[in-house]
Amino acid sequence: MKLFLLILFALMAIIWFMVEEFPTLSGLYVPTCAAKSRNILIITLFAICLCIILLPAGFPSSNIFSHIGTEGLETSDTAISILSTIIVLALLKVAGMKGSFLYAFIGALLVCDAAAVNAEYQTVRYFLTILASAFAAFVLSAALSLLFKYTIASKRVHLIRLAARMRGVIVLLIILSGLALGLNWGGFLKEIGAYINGLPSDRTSWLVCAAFIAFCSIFGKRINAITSTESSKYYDFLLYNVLAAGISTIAVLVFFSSASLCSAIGLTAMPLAVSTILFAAIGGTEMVISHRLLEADEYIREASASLIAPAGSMLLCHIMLAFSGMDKERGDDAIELFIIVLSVIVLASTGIMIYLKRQKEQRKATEQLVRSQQQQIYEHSKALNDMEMKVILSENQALHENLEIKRQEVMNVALSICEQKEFLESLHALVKEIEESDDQTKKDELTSQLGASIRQRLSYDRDVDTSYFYAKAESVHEDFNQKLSEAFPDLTPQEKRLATLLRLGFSSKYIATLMNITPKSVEISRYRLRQKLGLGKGDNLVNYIKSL
Amino acid sequence: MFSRKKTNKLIEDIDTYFDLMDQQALVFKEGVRNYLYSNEEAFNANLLKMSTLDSQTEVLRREIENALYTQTALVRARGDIMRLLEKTRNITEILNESLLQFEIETPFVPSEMNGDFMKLTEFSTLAVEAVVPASKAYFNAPDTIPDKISRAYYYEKEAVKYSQTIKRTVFHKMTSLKLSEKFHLRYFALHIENLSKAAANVADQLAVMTIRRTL
Repeated sequence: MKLFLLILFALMAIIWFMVEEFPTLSGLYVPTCAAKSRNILIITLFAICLCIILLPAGFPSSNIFSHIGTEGLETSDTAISILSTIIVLALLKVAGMKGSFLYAFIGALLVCDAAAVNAEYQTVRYFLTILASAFAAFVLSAALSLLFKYTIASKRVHLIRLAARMRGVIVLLIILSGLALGLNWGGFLKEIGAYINGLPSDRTSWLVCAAFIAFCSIFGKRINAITSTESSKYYDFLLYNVLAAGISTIAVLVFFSSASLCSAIGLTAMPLAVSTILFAAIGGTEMVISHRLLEADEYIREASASLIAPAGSMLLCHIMLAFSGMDKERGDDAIELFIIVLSVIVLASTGIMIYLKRQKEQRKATEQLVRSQQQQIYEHSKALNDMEMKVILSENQALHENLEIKRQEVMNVALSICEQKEFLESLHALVKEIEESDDQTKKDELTSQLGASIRQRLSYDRDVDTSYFYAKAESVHEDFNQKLSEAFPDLTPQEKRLATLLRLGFSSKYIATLMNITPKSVEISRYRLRQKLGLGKGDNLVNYIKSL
Repeated sequence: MFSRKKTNKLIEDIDTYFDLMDQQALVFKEGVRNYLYSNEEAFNANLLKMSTLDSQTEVLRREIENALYTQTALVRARGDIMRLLEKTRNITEILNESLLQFEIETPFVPSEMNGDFMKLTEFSTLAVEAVVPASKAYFNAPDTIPDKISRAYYYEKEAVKYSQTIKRTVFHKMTSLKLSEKFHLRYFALHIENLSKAAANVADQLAVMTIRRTL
C-alpha cells in the first residue's frame, strides 16, 4: 500500500511539474531562441537531477519536511492527503485554474499533522511564505526592471550586439533556473520516500530522477508542444522583461530553499509554485514599464489558485478526517486549523470578488466612454454627409440650369438658321422674278418690295437679338433683377433693361444701338432712371446700380 | 554559438542592406532623369546597376533573416525587424520594377511634363532616403526615429501632391494626347507615387516599433 502511495505521489508530482509548472518557466525563454525548447528541457532536467542526487542530506533545502513536521506519516494520512490534493486540483482545473500540486499536498499534510507541536503556527507561516515569496518576486522584478531601464536600455548599444550578448545570459539563466528548481524542490522530493514509504533518501533520489527521465523520454514532444503554447500565450516581452522576471524567479526560489535565511525573517523554507512566482515577477515588471504584459484575469487566476489549492486541500482533508473519525485524537487543534483555513478562503474570495467588481466597473466605464465617442463620431460624420449632400444637390441644380440655358441656345440657333434660310429663299425668288420681268414698272415695284422686306428683316433681327440678349443677361443676373424689382416696383421694363445694361458696363452709344433708340434718348432715359432711383446730383448712377 | 564575428557581420549586413536601398533610390532617380531626357546609354547602365543592387539586397535580406533567428535573443524585436525588412523589400521591388517598366513600356512623356515627373521622382526618392537613417537608428538610437520619419511623411505628402498635379495636367490640359497615352502617364505617375507610399509604410512600421521598444 505504501509503495502504491509513493508511486501515485511520484506520478502526480511529475505530471504536475512537467505539464503545469515547467512549461510556464521554460516558455519564458523559448521566444529568445537562445536555446530550443528540447534543449531547455534537457538542461533543466539535468540540473534538477543533479541537485536531487548531489545535495547533501544536511543541506537546508532538504530540511523542508522537518519544518512542516510530518515525520512518521501514517498510511491513512498519506492516502487522505493525496486524495484531497487530487480532488482539489481537479476542481481547480475544471474552474480553469492551475493549482500547485505541492501547495495542495503540503496543505493536506498540515491537517494530518495537526497534533504536532505548533501546527497552527506552522500553517500561518506556510501561508505567509506563499504570499511573501510572491511579493518578493514582485518587488525584486520591479527593482531589476527599473535598473535595466536606466542602465542597459538607456545606453545606445546596437540592438543586435546586445541581443547576441544577451543570448549567453539567457542560456546561463536557463541553467540557473534548472539548478534553482532542483535546489527548491530537491530536498522535498529526496525526503518524500522516507516519509511515505520509509525509503532511504539516496534511493528515493535515484528513483525520482529515473521517473523524471522516463517521463520526459516518453512525453518529451508533448511537453515541448505545451511549452510552445504557453510561450505564445503569455510571453510577448522585451529582453529586459525576460531577464528581470527570470532573475527574480531564480533568486526567490533560491532564497526560499534556505531554511536559515527564511527563519531569519520568520518564514519557512518550502517548495514553491514556479508559475505563481513567475507571474508575480511579471507583475513587478509590468508595474515599472506601465504596460500590460499579461491579462488581469491571468493574475487573478494564478493568485486564487495558489491560495485556494492549499486552503481547499486543508479543508477537504479535514472533512475527510472528520467523516472517517480519524481526527478524534487530534483534539481542538483540528478545529482551529479549520477556522484558519476557512478564514483564508473567505479572505481570498472577498479580495478576488472586490477586484473583479472593480475591473467590471472600469470596463463598463471604458465601454461607455467608447460608445459616447463613437456616437459623437457618428453624428459628426452624419452632419458632414448632409452638408456634402446639400453641396452636391446645389451643384446638380446649377448644372441643370446651365444645361437648360445651353439647350435653349441651341434651339434658338437652329430656329434662326431655318428662318434665315427661308428668308434667303424668298429673296432669291424675288430677285429671280425681277430678272425675268420685262416690265420696268413691275421691276421697280418688285425692287422696292425687296428693299422693304430686307429692312423689315433687319428690324426683326435686331428685336430678336436684343430680346435674346436681355433674356440671357437676366438669367445671368437673376438676383439683380429681382432686387431691382423689389426695391423699385414702379420701374418700367424699358428702365429695367437700361439698368441691366448699365450694370454690365455698356456705354450710352452701345446702349442706344442695343435698345434701338438714339443716344440722346438714352441720356433722357438715364435722367429719368436717376430720378426714380432717388439719386442726387453727386451720386454715380452706374456705381449705385452695381452696389445693388 | 556566441561568435563575435558573426554578430559583427550581422550588424554590417544590416547596415549594408539599408545602404544598398539608399543606392537603389539614387539609381532610380538617375534612371528616370536619363529616360526623360533620352540618355539611352546612361539609362541602360542605370538598369543594369539597379538589377545588380536588387539581387544584392535580396541575398542580404535572406542572410539577415536567417542570422536573426539563429544568432540573437531578440524576443519581440525579431518579429518587428522581420516586418521592417518585408516593408523595405517592398520599396526595393518598386524601385526595380518601376525602372524596368520604363524600359519595357517606353511611355511617351511630353517634354513639358519632364520637370513635373522629375520633381515627383525626387520627392519619392527623398522619402525613401529619409527612412534609411530612421531604419538604421532603430538599432542603436530609437529615440531619434520620430524626428527622422517626420521628414519621410513630409516628402510623401509632397510626392502625392505632385502626382495629383501631373494627373490633373495630363487629363485636363494635354488635349493633344490620346486617352491611352494619358492613362499610360497616369500609370507611371502612380508607380512613382507608390514609392513614397511604401516609404511612408516603412515610417509607420518604425513608429510602431519605436513604441514597442519602449514598452
